[in-house]
Amino acid sequence: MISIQIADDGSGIDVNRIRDKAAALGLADDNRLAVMTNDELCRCIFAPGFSTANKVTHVSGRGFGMDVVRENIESIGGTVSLTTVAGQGTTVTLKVPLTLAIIPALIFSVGNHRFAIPQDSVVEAVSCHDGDKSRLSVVQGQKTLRLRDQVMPVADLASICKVQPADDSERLVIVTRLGTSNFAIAVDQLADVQEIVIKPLSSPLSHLNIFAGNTILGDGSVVLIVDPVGLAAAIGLDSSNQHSVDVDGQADPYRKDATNFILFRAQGKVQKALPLSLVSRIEEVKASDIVDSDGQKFLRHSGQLMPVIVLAGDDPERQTWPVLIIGVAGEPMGLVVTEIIDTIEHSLEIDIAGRTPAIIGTTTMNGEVTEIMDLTHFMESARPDEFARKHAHRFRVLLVDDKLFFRDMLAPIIAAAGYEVNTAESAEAAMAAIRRGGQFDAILTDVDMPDVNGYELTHMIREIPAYLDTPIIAMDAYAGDEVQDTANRAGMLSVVGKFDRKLLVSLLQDNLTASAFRQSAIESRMNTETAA
Amino acid sequence: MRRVFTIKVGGAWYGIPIETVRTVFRVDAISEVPLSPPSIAGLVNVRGEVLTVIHLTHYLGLEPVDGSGGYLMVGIEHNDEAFGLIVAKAGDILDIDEAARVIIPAGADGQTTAAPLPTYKLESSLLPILDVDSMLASLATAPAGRAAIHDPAPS
Repeated sequence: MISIQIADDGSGIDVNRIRDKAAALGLADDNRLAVMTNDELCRCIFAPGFSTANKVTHVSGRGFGMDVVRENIESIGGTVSLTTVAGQGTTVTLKVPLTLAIIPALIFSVGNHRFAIPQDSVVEAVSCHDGDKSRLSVVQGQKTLRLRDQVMPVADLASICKVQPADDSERLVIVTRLGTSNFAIAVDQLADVQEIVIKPLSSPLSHLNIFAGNTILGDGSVVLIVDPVGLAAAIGLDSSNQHSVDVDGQADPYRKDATNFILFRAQGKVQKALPLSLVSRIEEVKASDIVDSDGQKFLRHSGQLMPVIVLAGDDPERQTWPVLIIGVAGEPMGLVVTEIIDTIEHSLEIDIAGRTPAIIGTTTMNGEVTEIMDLTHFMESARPDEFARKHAHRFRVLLVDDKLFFRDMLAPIIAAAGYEVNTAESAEAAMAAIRRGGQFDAILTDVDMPDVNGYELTHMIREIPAYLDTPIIAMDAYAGDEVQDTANRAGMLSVVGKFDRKLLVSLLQDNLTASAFRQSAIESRMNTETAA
Repeated sequence: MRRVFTIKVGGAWYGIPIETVRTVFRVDAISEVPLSPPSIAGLVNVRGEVLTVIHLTHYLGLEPVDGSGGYLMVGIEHNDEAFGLIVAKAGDILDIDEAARVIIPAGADGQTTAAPLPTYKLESSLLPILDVDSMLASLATAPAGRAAIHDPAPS
């Protein structure tokens, strides 16, 4: 707790008037008032409706100011109190918690106990049935989960906590990240994801390693926060190899970083991949919900029709199909595939460039030849209008960096994410490309360049009317707070670490979709005005 | 002179040092904490603050309370942590004279094993005073409640 004391050397508060007012308001009976100390009387000041003012001004006198102060401070877990000495002055003391650690957490239940687990630690939640994809079994006395091709230990939270689990009908597990390996927690039901404030457990409870603290949920209930490290220890897992690959990665700046891909099967024997960041979500849909209309296929979804491209081979017997849902300029479309294999972290290296329009290139993932699909090809097919709104070309990104190494490293990644990329080796070259008429939808620039740096380049670009709103993203080896501030002040959207592929692609995705929306809004206004 | 707040736990009255007492309130339910020491009833939310609730009856080795109708609690603060003591009744603030201290010999009933609580003679009764400090210190490690002066010690 931080203690803040504010004191004055005024005439102090007349406690007699407080006492009289307290009596008049009926806050305490006369006997009690007679024995109350000054400090106790001062507490009355914080009661709602308490005022000794003779007249009410527009800022004070109604007796609610201090109540509001007290309410606000208490709501963040702090306290406020007041002491006074007649003729000498008054001191107000505030105590507020030092940090409010807020994290997103997954709320789940075991029996009739609810718990929270930091979302950061959650890899996925899986429903286990005796199918071939996921299976719970007991191996050498230890409960294990076989999930796709991973085998991991299971922590049965119900038995560890000695609580009664719910009826065994559906076994759910939360796959939890622990250093470089995973383990699963058997739970009964998942509720939702909430942002929670972590509060530590009090001393008599702090020895319980499986709990990281407690929190108050939106409905006022108190829920314990599970600590994955403590829980792993409870089932005898060694988490000492938590010093993961990341630490080494920092030492070698030229190590190729990895992007998340989703691996799937469609028509043809070759495994296919798409950057996971482009996929909104995955759904399992009924075959009967996929309908033909006007030479295109649609998915009946939430009362609307969503255009889909069927990549999967035909199978009239099959009842359900997995669909990857993707957003195109804010409108959803789907890719129907045969089977989702897995998600994988893999460096984006294209061994062989694609020759067909649907494929960006071929590489090896998980030991198998894999085709990386060109999403824009499908977007164009499924959502031609939205796609055409991008002036009949893909979003075009200008990548500015004085080092060839980074231009070569980042350009293919941006291309694989579905954008057209042009590179420039200096601010000067970038301005030349822009003035030549290149219409860029976003600009990615290195901050630290000789002659003209990224911030100055941004100023120059913003002077061109067409580029007033264009997203400009800075890249720096280190994307710390100061760099963020300087970037924001220069008119840049954000700063991304040069090795943070995921953030780079997702920033581009978020901003290019949003600006396309704005563009189309302006367009439609123009159209209606012209029509009128 | 010391000032105490009186509470009724089980069938008897005890005193708690007034400095620790913050509030008296009712709750309907307590969130249990799995694997917690038996004297800890669980956690409860009071105006945005989480209090650790203590079964005073367990600590004192008395019959457990029936929580079906909710609980009456005294909120106390100790070392910047907040606790709730489950009580049957909340009493008054009393000023106790040190001169009224009576000495209860340990093991007077032949069954008590723990050191007796400091006890004071009131007009028509004896008032033991709970030592909040040592109670909270012992909670994390105590396997069972400490024996009370009035009731037979649990075996």
